Amino acid sequence: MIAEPIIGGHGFSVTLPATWEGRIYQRPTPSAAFSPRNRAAPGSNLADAGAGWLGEQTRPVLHLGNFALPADRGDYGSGAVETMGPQNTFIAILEFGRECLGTALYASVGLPRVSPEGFDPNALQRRIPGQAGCQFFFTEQSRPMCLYVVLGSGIDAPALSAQVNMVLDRIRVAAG
Amino acid sequence: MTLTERLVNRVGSRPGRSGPSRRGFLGGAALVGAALAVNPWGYLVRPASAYDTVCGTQAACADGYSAFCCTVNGGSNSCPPNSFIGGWWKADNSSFCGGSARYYIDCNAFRNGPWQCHCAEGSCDQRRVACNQFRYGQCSLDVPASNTGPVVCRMVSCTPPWQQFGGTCTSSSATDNRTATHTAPCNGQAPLGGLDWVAGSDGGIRLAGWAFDPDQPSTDLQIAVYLDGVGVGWFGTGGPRADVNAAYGISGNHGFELSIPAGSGTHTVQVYAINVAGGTGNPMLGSRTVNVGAVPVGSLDSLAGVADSRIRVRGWAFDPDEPGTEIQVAVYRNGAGVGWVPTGVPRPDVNSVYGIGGNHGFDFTIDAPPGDHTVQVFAINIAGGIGNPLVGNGSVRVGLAMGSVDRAAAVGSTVRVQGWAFDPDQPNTSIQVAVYRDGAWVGWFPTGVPRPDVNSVFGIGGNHGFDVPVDSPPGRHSFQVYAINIGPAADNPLIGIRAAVVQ
Repeated sequence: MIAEPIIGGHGFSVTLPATWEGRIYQRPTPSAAFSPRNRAAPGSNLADAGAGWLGEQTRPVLHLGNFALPADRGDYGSGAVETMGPQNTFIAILEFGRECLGTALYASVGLPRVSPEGFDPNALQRRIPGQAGCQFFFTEQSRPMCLYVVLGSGIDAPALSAQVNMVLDRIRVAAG
Repeated sequence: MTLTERLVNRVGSRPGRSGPSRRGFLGGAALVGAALAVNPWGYLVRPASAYDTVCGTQAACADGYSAFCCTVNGGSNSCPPNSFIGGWWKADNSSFCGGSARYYIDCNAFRNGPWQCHCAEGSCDQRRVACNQFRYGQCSLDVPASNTGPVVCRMVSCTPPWQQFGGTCTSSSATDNRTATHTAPCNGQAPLGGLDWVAGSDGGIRLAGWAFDPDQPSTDLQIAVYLDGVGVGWFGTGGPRADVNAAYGISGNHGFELSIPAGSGTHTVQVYAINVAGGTGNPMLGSRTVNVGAVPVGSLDSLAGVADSRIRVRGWAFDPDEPGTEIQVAVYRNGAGVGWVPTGVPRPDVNSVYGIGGNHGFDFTIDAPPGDHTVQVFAINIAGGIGNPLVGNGSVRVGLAMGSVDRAAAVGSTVRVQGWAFDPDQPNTSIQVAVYRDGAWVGWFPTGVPRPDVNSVFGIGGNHGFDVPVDSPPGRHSFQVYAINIGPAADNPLIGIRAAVVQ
């Protein structure tokens, strides 16, 4: 019997079911204000030079899906959700800063679970025909987060949401 | 899902409804030039039509994205009534922000508010309004999810939201580069400005102009300078320009004047104003071609009439842009071109002063008929800089004897007339001088007195001094001396007049 893979990092760990894959990452924090002078400087990293401004805080992001996650994804799954088929599911968990603790938006405590009726074709970052989504803001282990789930087929929400909850059960969040 | 939402979704899903209307498309054809002007980087590197560049890609309702606030809020890049700032994301390396990150700030409706899902009716921004129930989550943290409605629209800015909306938005970022090419024509005004002048200087380029953004008319801007298509840097405005302020009725300091380094040669300089608020891009303020570098330097050290009725020309010249290379000098006699002559004569003194190598001296002769001549020498530019500068000019007598009457002094009844004379045609040979007293011929007298000073100055040998005693009656007398020509036929020039008084 092949052991199910476990991915971990940035205070997350997930035991991946068969056919699922995941990514845990945190984008680099801008270390210098952008300017063409920086970009033109010998040895400068062109990819970083235009990414954000000083003061920006990047946070850990967890992506899970039962399909091949493309390398180039937006934090809420753009670039990945467009490739989903009807039986595919995408899960994103984004962490936010501690300044969010105790606020109304993040008042809910604990990683939520989804229900079929909670999915809506308009509850998507970008509406894609056939898909449905849902979103929750919460705090887990004193870490403010957002759970965003996209189903490849809203019609199949009952079956797909069960898969989602099965995967959510496998997510562990370390204390912040 | 409401009935309205169902209708919008159905419209959005209809095949063939993926682009703007035909009317809008035809209108967009006229925008090609504008697109090139406002978005030079994005337009040239991205496979999108000019129409897309003005309104952005994925602008149809069917594309599933939310509309821009200026489209639905009377042209204002702000949250419309009954909405709040719900969160933000960024698209990195955006051409709309001069290659930096561009920020999108969602305006969410309040739950159960008056907003209804529909497609925007902008000229090309026909994205969704109050349809997408989604929140980015960094702003207005006091508004709970339970009171959060759909995204009415999104604002756009090149300024980070935690700065622009400090106290409302946090700095925890989310990134979605797929929206980098989204925009709308109404997203504010592009900066205005002008590139007043560009000039090449020694080792660089100087330029000056002005720029301001009508959306924030008192704010100093940045300008981006490109040299031959490569970004050099961003530079701030900040110089006072009372004329600009008066013309536009604004305040602030919107002038710029700066230098950028540039190698010798011809360069193209382009200057863009960086948008600080809305607007469809960073307009080019101007493009100029400029020649950079130093013109040659040099000196005409001496001109001398020499044997065989020629002029000897000596000096040095080099081009600082290529200081080790020998250049040429152009010679003119009496305003007429004689020819180009290469340098190549060692001049260690010049090399020492300028710290350069090479042989930059010139020493040559040119033909000239007997008489007085003017000579001009120009150094020929071989690299940057404009023009071939005059390095020297002078006058010279050729083919005629020359000399000077240094003094005429009476000793008793004898006046001693002293001076020097020689003929450049035979510079080592003594000649004769003819002496006149009060206009009456006295006689011819040979030179032959040593005059090392004269020899040194003219670089000749021989003894060219004269010391002629002339017995004279009491009274004041005028002595005129002529040098007697010994070369090719020519006049015998008067070389001086002196007065002496015999007691």
